[in-house]
Parts: sequence; structure tokens; C-alpha cells
Amino acid sequence: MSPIRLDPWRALRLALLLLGAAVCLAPYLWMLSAAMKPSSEIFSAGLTLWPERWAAAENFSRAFERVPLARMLLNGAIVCALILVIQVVIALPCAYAMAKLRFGAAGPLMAVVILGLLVPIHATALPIYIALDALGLLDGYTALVAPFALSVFAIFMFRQFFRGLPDDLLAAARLDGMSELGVLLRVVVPNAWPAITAFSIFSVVAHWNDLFWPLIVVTSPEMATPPLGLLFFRAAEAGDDYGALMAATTVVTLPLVVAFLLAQKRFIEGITMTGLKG
Amino acid sequence: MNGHALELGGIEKRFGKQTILKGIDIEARPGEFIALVGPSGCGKSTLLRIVAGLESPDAGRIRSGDRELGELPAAKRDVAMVFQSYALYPHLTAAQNIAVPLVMRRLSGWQRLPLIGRWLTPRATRDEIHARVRQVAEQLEIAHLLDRKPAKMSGGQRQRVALARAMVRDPRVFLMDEPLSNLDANLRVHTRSEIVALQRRTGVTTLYVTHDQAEALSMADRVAVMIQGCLLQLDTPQRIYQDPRHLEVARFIGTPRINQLDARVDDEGVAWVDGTALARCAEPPRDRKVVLAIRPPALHLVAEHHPRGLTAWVKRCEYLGTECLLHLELESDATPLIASLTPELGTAYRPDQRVWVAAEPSQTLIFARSGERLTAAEPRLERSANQPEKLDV
Repeated sequence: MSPIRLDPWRALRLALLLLGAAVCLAPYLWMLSAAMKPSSEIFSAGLTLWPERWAAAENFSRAFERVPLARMLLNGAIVCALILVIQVVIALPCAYAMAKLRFGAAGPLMAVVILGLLVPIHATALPIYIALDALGLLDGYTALVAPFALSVFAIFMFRQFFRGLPDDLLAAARLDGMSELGVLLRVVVPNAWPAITAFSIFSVVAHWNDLFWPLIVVTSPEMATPPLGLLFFRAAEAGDDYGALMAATTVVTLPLVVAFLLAQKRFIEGITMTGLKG
Repeated sequence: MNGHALELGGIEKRFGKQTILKGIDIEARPGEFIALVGPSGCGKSTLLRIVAGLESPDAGRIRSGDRELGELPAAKRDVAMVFQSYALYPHLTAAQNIAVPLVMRRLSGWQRLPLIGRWLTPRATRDEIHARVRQVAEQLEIAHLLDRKPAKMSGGQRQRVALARAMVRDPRVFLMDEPLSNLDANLRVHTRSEIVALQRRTGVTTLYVTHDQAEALSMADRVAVMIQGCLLQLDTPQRIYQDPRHLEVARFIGTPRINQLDARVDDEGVAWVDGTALARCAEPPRDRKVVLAIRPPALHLVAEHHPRGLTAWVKRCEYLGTECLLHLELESDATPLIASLTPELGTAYRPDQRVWVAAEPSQTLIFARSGERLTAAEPRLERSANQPEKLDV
């Protein structure tokens, strides 16, 4: 092992990073700590991180008892998976056509995509809500998934990535006898995994954590996604059972944290890539 | 063998206002190897991509044997192409790369599905494809690379895999787009003869695009010289070199470049340069101005009072081992000339030495100023006293 030299600049940088990490991590640590404490300790005057009496079992069991937490996690998983699959299935051929095929509408279509990127969900929320209501689809998976099924961001991101694929490669595939769909599935997609992974991370993180849209369209606890479930929890408990609430929050954040730890490298690649392209 | 004739008729292509191809006609006999050669931007690659079906022409037709190819999409044309960038599938091994054309043609859509496709494909078909891939790989000496992905191969190895992928089925036409230009010089010369041998053995009609005239001359049965979207001459390598029909062809083919002298033609058809009669054309052009072109090996150093001798100054002597290039400048108007001499002869000359050069009239090609070749007449050349001392050309 070579000794690590600690010059002043390095020390300063490390100190700043530590400070930043502490600020970011503090709420999570507090959440974990509160999930382990009995409520008497949560509201005590002292600021202790380590519980005097462990109440983790009670808190977690209450969290699962009071609201259908398992159901909510399942809802979250189903909604995120549906959104991701539909987004990718729609965006891949769109992006391929826009990046590599020559047709008259390519220019205007690109303008529409860029325009779509500029419009936030909050602007279209009300018309979509009215439409879903008119169709009688509120408070269900369709209402949660449909507005996000078509992702202009995915189209834009895949298009930028596909433009980097050499034209000769696609020409070779056509001469080898592939149809355009064959080219897409056999040549483009296998070489686009970095882009697809990056987008998947982005999409899953955004929709797992989304509170805005489920809050609008979902009313029954059976249809709630995890963040909305937490909100139900608070309302139901009149705000005094913080131990159970924090336990529920821990359960909700756990899947993404575990996923992050397992695929840390991919995760960072994905985020930096979306940062560059978006 | 299994060659098909290839016939291109009146192929035209425009990109916006720019005309890339101006009516190209090429007829290749079954099994013939035709090289398309020309400077970059002459449209030769575009022509190849039109034959492949990757570009659509604005006019013209493409026939292969008894089949019209013009209206078919690229996937249905049954042509194989080797790209300059090789265009191998980066996610597949060499064996899978080579197998793709067979898999796409011999298996049905269901059989090509991942995982379940294996169960739907008869074992015999799979073995057949496997055996064919192996056979082609052995022919090209890449059997040991079959499990490798393109990223783990050298340029030469990738080039061979690309060739194997083109050869694995018997296509109607081979199209090659500068397949050797990314290889180093030694490998290029070696691979040239290999490609020719493979082409002879398979007997598939081949169009080969290159910007390297030496490659075209050494490989092809016939060479098509294209300049600025026009096919100027389609002929055997010998005739392209010795008997170019256009000044641009003469200029493009042959290294070092052919010597060019501006000359004036009198009523008799005799072409004069600096008061010296060098050649005679059968029908003098109306503007009386011609360009005489002489290959460097045909330009000889002669004694001072040679009847066709031109006075020149030695600028530089370029020693190349097998020959010696003497760079000269004409005394009268500083026209640069190159004479190719044997090394023994060439090294005897020093810069700023005054010399006399001449060429046989039979070796002197006459072109009109517009570029067309003019017919030479039997020379009747004597130095006559009534000719002006100096001709302004």
C-alpha cells in the first residue's frame, strides 16, 4: 500500500465533500433512527440518534398493519414497469426512424419532440384528468400509466444515441436481408443498451418517487403508489405516529437504495449520460 | 460458374442541385471483375450504393442476369457488399457475423427468434450453416477468430471477417467499397491478390470501388474511370494505361503523372512546341490548340541536335531504387516534366544541368483542349525553316 499524501488542498476538498455528504445523508439517518425509536423518544427534547429502547419491530409491524403497504409497493412496481416497457417500445422505433430514415416529416417531427420536452406535466395535468374522468378511467392503473406511456424525452435521447451508430452498419444489415424492423431489433437495440439502461434508471426513479400525478388521479388506498401511500398514512394517523411513518418511509425508499447499491456503476453512468444528453 | 451479367443503363443521380452521376452505362459480363476508379467525389461510391439499393437513382436501370434489380429493396437484391469501415456487428462474434446472411435467408421469422428459435430450427439446417461458416472461415484463414468479437480483432482480421460475411452465400453481385484502404501498405498488396483469387474461384460478378489507380489496374478485368460523375472510359487495364480516350483518364492513371505539353497545330496537323514538331494529328482541331501527353518512361534524354529534342533544365533527381525520376523544367515556358530513367542513367544528372528530351511520336498522345483524344497521323516531321521561331501557346 502506498501512503496517501494529505496535502492541505486535498484535506479541504475531502472536508467539503464530507460536509456535503453529511447534509444529504442527515434526513435519511434521522428517518432510520426515528423508525427504530418508540414515539416517546421521538418527541423527547434531546437530539439523540441512537435509540435507548429499540422499537423497530413495533414500528414496522404497525406500518404494515395500518395501510396496505405491500399492496402499495406492488402497485409501484407494476406502474413503473408498465410505464418503462411502453415508453421503450414506443420510443425505440420512433427514435430509429427519426435518426436514420429519410422522410419529409422528420424535421417537423423533431420540432414537435423538442416542443414536447418543453411542456411540463403540470400544464397538461388538468385536460388529461378531465379526459380520464370522461372515460371513467380514474383511480386505476390506466390513469397512472397512460399519461407517461409516450416519452418525448426517451425519443429524443434514443435519437441522439442512434445518430451515433454508423450508417454502414445499418446498410450492411439491410444487404444481409433484414427488414427495417429486423435492423432495429437485431442491430440497433443490441448496440443501444447503454442508452436503454440510462433511460430505464431515469424513468424508474422518476415514477417510483412521483407524488404529483398519483395524488391527482388516485383516491383509494388499494391503488396508491408508495409515495401516495405515505401521504395516506399521515392523514390516517392524524400525524402523531411518526415511528411507524418513518418505518414505512424506510420500506418505500429501500428498493431504490438497494438497486443503487447493486448497480452503482451503471447508475452513475446513466445519470451522467442523461445529464449530457438531456 | 454462377456469375450473372450486370447491366447498368443511364444511371443518374442528383443531390439537390448537384448532379453526382451523369448517365452511367456499364455492362459487366458474368463473373467479370470491374474496378470503378476515380478521384474522391467522382460519384463512384454513390454508384455502388445505387447498385446495392441503398440509394435510389433519379434515372436509369439495373439488371442482373434476367432480373431487374432497380425496383427491389436492398434486402431482396441478393447482392453482398464489403464496406470500407467493414461494418461488422459489434455485438456478435465473428462466427455469428458471418452467419447472419445465411440465418436471414434460410430460416423463417419464427426460427430466428431468440431462445425458442433454436427449438424450431431443424438440427440439419443449423449444422449446415455452421459448416458453411467454418468452411468460409478456413478459406480466409480466420477459423481461429470465430469466437472473437470485432472489438478484439485487428484491422486486417476484421477485413477478412467482412469478406467472409460477403462470401458465405453466393450473391448475384459482389460490391466492394474501398475494402483495402484502411489496411497498411504491406497487407494491402497481399490482400489484393487474395481478393482476386477468391473472386476467380467463386466467379461472382464484382464491382470494386477504389481511388487507388494501381489497385484498379492490378486487380480488375476491366477498369472504369469516373471523373466528376461521368464514366470516361471502360477498358482493360492495358488499354486504359496505353490508350486513354480522354486527357483526364491519362492524367489520373499512372504514377508519376503523365507529362503534358501545350502545343499549337498548323494546317498540316503538325503539333509544335517551342519551334519543335513533336506529333501530327489527322484532323487538326478548329482552335489549333492541343495537349500532348507523354508517359514519363516514354520521355528519353537525347543528344543536343535531336530533331524532336526539347531543351530543359534538371530540377531534381528522385532516386527510387528500381527507377530514377528526373524532374525537369522546359526552358521555353517552365512546363514541369518528369522522365523515368534507369537508376544508373538517372543518377548521372545533377540539378541545373541543361538536357534535351524527346519522345517517339507513337508514344505521344494528342488531346484536344476539351480533353478528347485526337487521332494521330503518320508523322512527316522535319524542321522547316519557314516556321516561326517561337509559338505562343
